[in-house]
Amino acid sequence: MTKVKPVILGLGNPLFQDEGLGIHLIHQLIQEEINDRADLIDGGTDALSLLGIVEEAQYLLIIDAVNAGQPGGTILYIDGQDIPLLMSDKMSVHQIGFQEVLTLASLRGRLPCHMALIGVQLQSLDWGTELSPPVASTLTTVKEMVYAQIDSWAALISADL
Amino acid sequence: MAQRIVVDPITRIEGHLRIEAEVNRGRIINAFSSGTAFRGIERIMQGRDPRQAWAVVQRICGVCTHIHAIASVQAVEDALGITIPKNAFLIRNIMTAVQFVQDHVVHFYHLHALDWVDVMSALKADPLAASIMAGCISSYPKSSPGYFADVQKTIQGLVNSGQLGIFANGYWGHPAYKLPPEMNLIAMAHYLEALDWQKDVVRIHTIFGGKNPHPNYLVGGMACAINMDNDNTINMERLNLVAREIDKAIDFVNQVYLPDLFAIASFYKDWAYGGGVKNYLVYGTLDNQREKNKQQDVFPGGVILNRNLKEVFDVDLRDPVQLKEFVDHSWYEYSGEQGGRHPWKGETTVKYSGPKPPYTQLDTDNKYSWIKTPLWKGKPMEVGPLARMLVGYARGNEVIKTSVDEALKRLGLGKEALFSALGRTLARGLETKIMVDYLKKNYEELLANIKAGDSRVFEGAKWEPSSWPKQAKGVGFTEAPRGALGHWIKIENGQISLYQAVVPTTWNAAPRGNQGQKGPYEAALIGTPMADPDKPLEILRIIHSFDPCIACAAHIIDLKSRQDIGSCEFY
Repeated sequence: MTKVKPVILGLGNPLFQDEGLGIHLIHQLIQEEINDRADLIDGGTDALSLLGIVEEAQYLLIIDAVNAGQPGGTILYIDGQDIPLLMSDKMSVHQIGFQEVLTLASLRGRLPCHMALIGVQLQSLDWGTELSPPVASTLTTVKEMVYAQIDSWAALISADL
Repeated sequence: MAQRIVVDPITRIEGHLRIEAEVNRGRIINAFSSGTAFRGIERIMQGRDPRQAWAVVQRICGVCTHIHAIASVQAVEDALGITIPKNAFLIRNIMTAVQFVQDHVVHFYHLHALDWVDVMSALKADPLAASIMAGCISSYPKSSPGYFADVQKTIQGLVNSGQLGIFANGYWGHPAYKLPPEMNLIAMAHYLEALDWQKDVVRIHTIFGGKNPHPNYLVGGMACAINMDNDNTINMERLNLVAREIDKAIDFVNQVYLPDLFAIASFYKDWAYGGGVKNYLVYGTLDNQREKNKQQDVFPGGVILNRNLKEVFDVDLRDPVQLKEFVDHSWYEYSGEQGGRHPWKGETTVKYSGPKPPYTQLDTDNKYSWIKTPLWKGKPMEVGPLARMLVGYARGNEVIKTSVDEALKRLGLGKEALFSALGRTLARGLETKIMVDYLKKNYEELLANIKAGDSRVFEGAKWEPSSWPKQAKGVGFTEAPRGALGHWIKIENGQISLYQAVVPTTWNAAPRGNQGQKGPYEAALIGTPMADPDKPLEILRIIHSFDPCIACAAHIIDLKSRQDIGSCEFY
């Protein structure tokens, strides 16, 4: 069963400053009107538990902190098919990352048809529940991108119906 | 001359486990375990509202969120003298049992299995022979030759695509793999089945916690209202859904997990390595909140020393003498009085003296880990499923005793076989069975209690800080899937003034103690033969058998290391 309502999935851990970007953003969006138009999910870091959410989504927007060797606060948009699938050697189940979940979904032929990632280059991973200033300053722009993405998917969805 | 091998799977970000092992004449003669993640939770917690602590500390670990939240609310309830209503207690137990069962199955298939199961060998299996073999080990309905041929095709497709992904870095073909191709294929089929199953069972958390991941918790009870006539609360329809998921979990454990575990174990009976420190610690869990050294508890608390199952010592986590954390080999310093610290006097002041990364070797004579060394009466302790089965056995707990005796008989092994990596893996399976039955029992009790007219889930008499003493301290302790878990809290003027968590992996992955005592991982590795030091499968097997909870909480996408796959990497 796939669902037509887009899913916005924030990933990360709010205990490590910028690692919490996706989570901070989701909790802000939950207070806004977009909450009616999309399912907003605080995905945390337990990637495997997100397999069901990924596989049931038809439209999936992922928000996460990224490390792209860019200056802190650089925003990246990656379209679905450009998100590579990779798994590496594991010492712990906890290292089953979100990308592995995408691999597993793909292995089972259940990747969402429409998928995108909005990432923000992190600056600090120290313990702390606040975002670093350069990353915090991207929130408004990232939110605009989220709205734009959901609007463009809404057009696709209504065309489908 | 000993050769030092380092297993440090992800050196690119902080927060992982690193093992340095010295190998001489093909055998490990010394080992060091270093957690490279600084746990700074204590700093973050100061000054916060104790009632909100669970929401923060549950993120200590991305996977064990539930049990950290439980330890936290229990610590606050202990400090403030709150007794929660029966329904809340049963619901928490149901959620904990779900976490155990889901976590253990996922650990077995999606992490540990590949240390014993050779994926590539599965491609050589004859699907018909696999079907016959599967029929012999279990009544699980999915076992036709066509089913196994399809699984083989899926794996072959993955291999052909060049995106081996999950299976890219295995030591396939390693001489330590002993399973016939058909058994490898059966295990791989169930690897895929387990993915579906684990997705469903966590729905129970969604029902009681409102959402998953990250359900809601509440100091004083649970946040889910019970009303059989209301669509938006816990009602009969939702309880029926819980019952269905529980029955599915029981079937999966009985028909898939346990048969596979026994079948695989039967091929590795002579692999008796990975024993460890010989001391085992259980805080105890579930059946009652405060007295945890009881024989009849699902997991009785207690300590066993030197593998002596004839004597069990009681554990008291409030006793400032029993449990202490040392930093002789950890990158912290204590102010004032030196030596060990009970968590209520705990300090987390960083003093990094290690080499500047990237480095090839740690200074293992001095400080070499971000993990502290907890000791019980000066002794390192193994925690987790094996500890729970051993302490339960030694306490004379009937369910555990029967379960262990029957398993050993079935495999034709003596008790000494338990003290190994295989014993740990077996113990995890046995307790999964105990927990899935316990899950059902708690559900039935909950249902009976609700039907008898009790719908209370929250005790609110001490919710307002004005009702609290000026100063209070408490400890919340339980068993997490990976072992004994404790959260210690001090509350002053309505705010947290001290918060310390000693997590299972702190016990198991600890560096040397103040007198050079080896930690459980370290001790477990020594004496293990290695077929090929460049392919340290044996080390992974032993470390994985503990189910490490390390590197759990960071999750970053790395777009920088554009390796062979040409784009980016998630952690």
